[in-house]
Amino acid sequence: MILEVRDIRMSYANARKEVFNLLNGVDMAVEEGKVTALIGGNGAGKTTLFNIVSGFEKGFKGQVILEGNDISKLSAHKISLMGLGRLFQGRQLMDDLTLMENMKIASDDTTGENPFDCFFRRKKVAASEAAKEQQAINILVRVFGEDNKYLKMLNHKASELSYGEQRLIAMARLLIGNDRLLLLDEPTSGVNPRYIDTFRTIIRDMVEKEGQTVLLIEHNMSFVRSVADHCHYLADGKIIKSGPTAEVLDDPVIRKDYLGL
Amino acid sequence: MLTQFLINGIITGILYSLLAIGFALVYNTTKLFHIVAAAIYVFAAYMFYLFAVTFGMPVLVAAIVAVVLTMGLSLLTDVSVYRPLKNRKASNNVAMIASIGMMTVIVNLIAMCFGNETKVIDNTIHRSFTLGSVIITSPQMWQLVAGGLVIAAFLVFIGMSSWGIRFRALSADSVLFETLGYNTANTRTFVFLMSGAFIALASCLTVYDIGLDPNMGMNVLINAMVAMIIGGVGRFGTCVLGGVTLGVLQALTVFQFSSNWQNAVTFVLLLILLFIRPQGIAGYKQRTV
Amino acid sequence: MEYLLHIGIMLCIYIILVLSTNLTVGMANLLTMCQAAFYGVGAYIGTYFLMHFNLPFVLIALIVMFATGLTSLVISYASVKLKGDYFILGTLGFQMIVYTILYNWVNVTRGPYGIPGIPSIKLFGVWSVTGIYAYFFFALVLAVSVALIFNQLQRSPYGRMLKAIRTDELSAQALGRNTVQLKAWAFFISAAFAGVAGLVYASYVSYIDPTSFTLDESIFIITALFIGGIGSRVWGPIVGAAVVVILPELLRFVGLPDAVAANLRQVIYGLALVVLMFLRPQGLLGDAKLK
Repeated sequence: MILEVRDIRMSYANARKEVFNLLNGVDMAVEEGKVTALIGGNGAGKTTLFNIVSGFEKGFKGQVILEGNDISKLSAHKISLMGLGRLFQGRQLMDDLTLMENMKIASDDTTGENPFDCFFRRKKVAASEAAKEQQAINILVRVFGEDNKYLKMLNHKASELSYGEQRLIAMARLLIGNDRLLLLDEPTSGVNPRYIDTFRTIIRDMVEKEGQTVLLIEHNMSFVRSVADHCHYLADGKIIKSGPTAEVLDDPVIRKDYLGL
Repeated sequence: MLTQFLINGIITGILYSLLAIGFALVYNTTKLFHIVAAAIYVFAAYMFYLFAVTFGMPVLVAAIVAVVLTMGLSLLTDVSVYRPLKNRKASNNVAMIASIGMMTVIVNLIAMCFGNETKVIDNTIHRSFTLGSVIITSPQMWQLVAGGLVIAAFLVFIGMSSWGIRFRALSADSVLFETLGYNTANTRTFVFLMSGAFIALASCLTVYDIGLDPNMGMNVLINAMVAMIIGGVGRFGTCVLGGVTLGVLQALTVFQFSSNWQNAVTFVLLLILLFIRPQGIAGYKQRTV
Repeated sequence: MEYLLHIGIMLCIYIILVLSTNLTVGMANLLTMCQAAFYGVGAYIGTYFLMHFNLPFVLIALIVMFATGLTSLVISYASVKLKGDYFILGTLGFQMIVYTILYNWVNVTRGPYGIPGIPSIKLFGVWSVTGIYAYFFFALVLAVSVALIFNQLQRSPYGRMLKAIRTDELSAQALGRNTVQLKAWAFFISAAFAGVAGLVYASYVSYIDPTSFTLDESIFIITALFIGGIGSRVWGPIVGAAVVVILPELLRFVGLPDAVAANLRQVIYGLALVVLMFLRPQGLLGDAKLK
């Protein structure tokens, strides 16, 4: 198991000191080299769970184990350096940066990202920049084909791309870093359906070609069915059912509770 | 001796509370960092001076006129700057910079009209009351009584009236507030008018025996903001808690060290609080969305 | 002519100040109200070394940069613990604390009496920069160098990362970047160069007192930055500094008494700020929108 989440509990208190238990003992395991989906109703706590796993939420009880290491107390960027990639819900690329810059910041190579390198290690920085550029072009070609239009837009601001395109590229650039586990929060949400196939291809690429593991939150059930091997259903603060996707999605209780069928 | 300092501290604390409430009224309901409040404070003082000294009106009348005019200025800042910016979907930081700009304009216009040097409203020795070993001057009595009564009335008003509930609703969620059919514009108007009144009251009560200069605003405002944070952001009753606490702590510093360092106490306290307990003594942690 | 050179020198000093502020505010979206505090710390520390040691300028500058940079650690720590408005309040508090210390710690800083008779800068420890022509040339070379340094910094991968942090810090962290450290560097550099500006100022006017390093001064610097434009690499801050330094001189020709002119100048800046926030919040030459 590449990721194990043990007895995660998390609650909020509001102004009137009322306590609300969002997560009430979540136990979840994610198998390496597969695509796993995390499903559940709105407000069930899926994104919060992602935040806990990736280190952005610290006020919880329980343990998060990544590849055998307890990462519960580590900061978000350290967890990322250990090989965890994250796509946030609703966020795409950084619109103030150009497309190329957006790709470069996803690189594992941080040469030049301190105030001194640009003065004292010019050659090294130039070389690493060239390598990053090549890497970015490779990814774009791989995902969109040889003559894709993005190759001509590398110096355009990311804000010129549509939301769907930005989501796609944001996900594609996760192929650049050497992440072992990728957390994708609602990748297809709000995206034009014509891109869905490309999303599916990227995710399968991540698992089959790069050997990565994917854990995704999704509300689009047909997408989940077509891309996920396993499924976890989160409700009432716990993982109520886990298993192969078809088994979970065909479960009559879940179909009634969550899908309303 | 110590009791004297404590009483002084409490009275100063009431003045801080008044200004803190004035600032908090705007901050709690609109989340705007209302820096121009410093200039509004100065404006009130100079209006008081203008009517009481230059025009020679009776002090009480001058004060009332000053309060009314200041309420108008406060509303003006919202109507001419804050609301239009909000309609353009400007962020709160942009509004804050605009607030700083407004403050600079108002303070310097006042300095151009009245001069940069310190002015005094009433230089005479005032009657004082003696209670045991404690002496309270007449202006201090006004500060204590007027300030205290207004604060008490306000807290009752906030807690019990429908306006009070509206304030709290607007603070909690302005979009929902509007969807539910409440008129945000009217409530905002009321908020800014009340804010102006509180700032003016704090100003007039303070400068009566201390004097005024165009640059006094920021210093006092920072003290008020610290008072608001000490007490607990998000509520009004806590502004009083914070104000009095700050006043007493400052008085104790003067008692123990010297008056030079009392401001330093404020800021050190602010930094400590911001790091350890940003929600203040009685505030609550806000859930970050 | 000498008067023009004086304006030129002050312009160079302010260019350095506004450039330094642009790094934190413009690049990393960290609105600070304490730049004048760093300016002041640099001025006082620089004065100490100028008066007690016979060191070349470069050495004193490095010491000042390092020392002033160290004081920025408080602000760095604040940026981690405090979010949004609280951070701004924290920088405000820091500014006031520094001012209060400069004003009250009379044993060390001579408080309101100020420190007179500050010697001029010695290049390489031998040549004293004396006379207004020499100072102007020196300040100009320094300002240009600093502008080039900041330009290089902002075009670098480090500058790119700061922009990323400005836009979406969480995503930057999710990409494995230690945003806290990156921002701390930005604060350090920003404070360091503000300190250098203070050093040059101290030796040029040969007298300093706390009133040059107040909250008003911080606001003044921020105003210059916003007028010129945030996010722009160097030209925004340069234009902004030029506007705020040269404008009052133009007012002189109108013939107003000095005190009134000073206030009128502030009124114009304040108005400019408000109008800018309506029409062009990113400033004349900027390209970043405030969050």
